[in-house]
Amino acid sequence: MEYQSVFLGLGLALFLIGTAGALVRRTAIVVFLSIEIMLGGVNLVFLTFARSTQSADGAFMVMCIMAVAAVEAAVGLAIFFRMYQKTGSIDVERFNLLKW
Amino acid sequence: MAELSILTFFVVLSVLSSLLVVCTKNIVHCALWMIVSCIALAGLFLLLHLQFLAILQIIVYAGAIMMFILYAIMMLNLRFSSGPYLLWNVKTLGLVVLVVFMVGLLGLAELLPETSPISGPFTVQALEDIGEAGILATRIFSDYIIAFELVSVLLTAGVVGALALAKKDR
Repeated sequence: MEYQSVFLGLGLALFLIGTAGALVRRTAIVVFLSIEIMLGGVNLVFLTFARSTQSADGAFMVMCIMAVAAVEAAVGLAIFFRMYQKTGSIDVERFNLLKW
Repeated sequence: MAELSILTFFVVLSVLSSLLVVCTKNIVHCALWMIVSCIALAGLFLLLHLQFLAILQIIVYAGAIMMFILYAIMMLNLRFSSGPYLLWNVKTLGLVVLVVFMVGLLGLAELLPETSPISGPFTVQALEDIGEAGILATRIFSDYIIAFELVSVLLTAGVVGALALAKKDR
């Protein structure tokens, strides 16, 4: 397939940008958005290989990832609400009850 | 030639908007740039001739998830995070290690054999005849039925869990 390396390289770039954001930002919602960017990069790689090997597995996997991302958004935002009620901010530094 | 210029446009758009999501200070702007990133990704799916998944990407990500996140940001009245917005410490070291790891992975991918086995339902002929949504639908309700049902159970459990978490006092 033509341009396959472009798509794969872009998937890698999106994954790295998302990883950097998830590690570096301190607002929980932005960390969550960075994880969504990582999922987008993985989706792109799945679909590129699905097209180049003519397999439907990658496309189905992408549909599953989208559904899981929606669930993640619902549960994650509920957690952010509780966090905001408890500490008055959604700074990941202040979310330290599970630290040992 | 037209395809190459469209591809370049969407690649540049998605990298730039993703970088802006990570770098912008204003959280509302972060969420808005994330919508642009999702739409650019949908354009790339279209370039892969996967129209159904491109529409799904726009509806689910840009429509549902991002609207939900903007709702949450506005309900919590967050515009800027308090204090410095970056965490710079040992994690940057981890980041460098990660980049080296990923570049190494890419180098490994270059070593893979050039031709991968081509077999499956996504042939050009089938894509033109019944379309990609039709191919996916027949596979979902035959081969992948258990995974599909598990995902629906997960969605239900997620709704119940989110409601239980967001309730004020129990």
